[in-house]
Amino acid sequence: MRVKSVRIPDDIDRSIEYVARLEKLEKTQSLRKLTRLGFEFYAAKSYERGKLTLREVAALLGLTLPETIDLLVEMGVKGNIRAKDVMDSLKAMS
Amino acid sequence: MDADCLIKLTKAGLKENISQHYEIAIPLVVKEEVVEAGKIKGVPDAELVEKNIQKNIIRVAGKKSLIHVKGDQALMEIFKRGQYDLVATDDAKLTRLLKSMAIPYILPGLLIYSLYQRNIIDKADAKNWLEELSFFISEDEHSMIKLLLEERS
Repeated sequence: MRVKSVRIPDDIDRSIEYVARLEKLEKTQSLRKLTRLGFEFYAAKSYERGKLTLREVAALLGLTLPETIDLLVEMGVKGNIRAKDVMDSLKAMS
Repeated sequence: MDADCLIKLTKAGLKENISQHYEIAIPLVVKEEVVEAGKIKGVPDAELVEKNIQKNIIRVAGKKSLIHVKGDQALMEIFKRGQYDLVATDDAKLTRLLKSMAIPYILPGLLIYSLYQRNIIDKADAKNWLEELSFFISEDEHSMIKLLLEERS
């Protein structure tokens, strides 16, 4: 694990303390947890917008593909196909 | 078939139903991504897919490459060899790539619709299967397929 020095704004510091207090964690553990959750959310939203493939999300998060689908579903991201993609696929089928 | 489509059909409990009516092939790299990587972490879906491969319900295409090839690259390379009709995927970024290379693709929801369209399954089954799949596909895909099923009556 690397040691890094970062400037943390007051509101984020309060969030870290809040989670640490609520979950009985050290502040560093709380910070790691929130950072991971934030990155998972960022990756999930990028997938939802079609900017990342499932494979890319899995690689970024260090998960298997089935685990990644489970995580995305848990975060309310069931897929990223738009209506136009459905119509294009339908045209290709006919 | 790409890994996302395969995993979603597996999780929805539809893989066996779909594979009865379609000949499914996956690139070796997709097998490694789903089965080998999943088994290391004890993911139950990995064992289900492995059993399907052993029973020849799913065929593994392609050979082990010396260079690292990603699943989407492997899919396109295998498709270009010419014995396949469509690439099955549920990934928007991959569909854009397939479109740019003029490779036809099919979405998991449309696999169900196609069976209904060809009178292989009835509307009730198609709607039930779509509902099972709805936990894993986008709202757009779900509502579009539902509309298509309703239209064709």
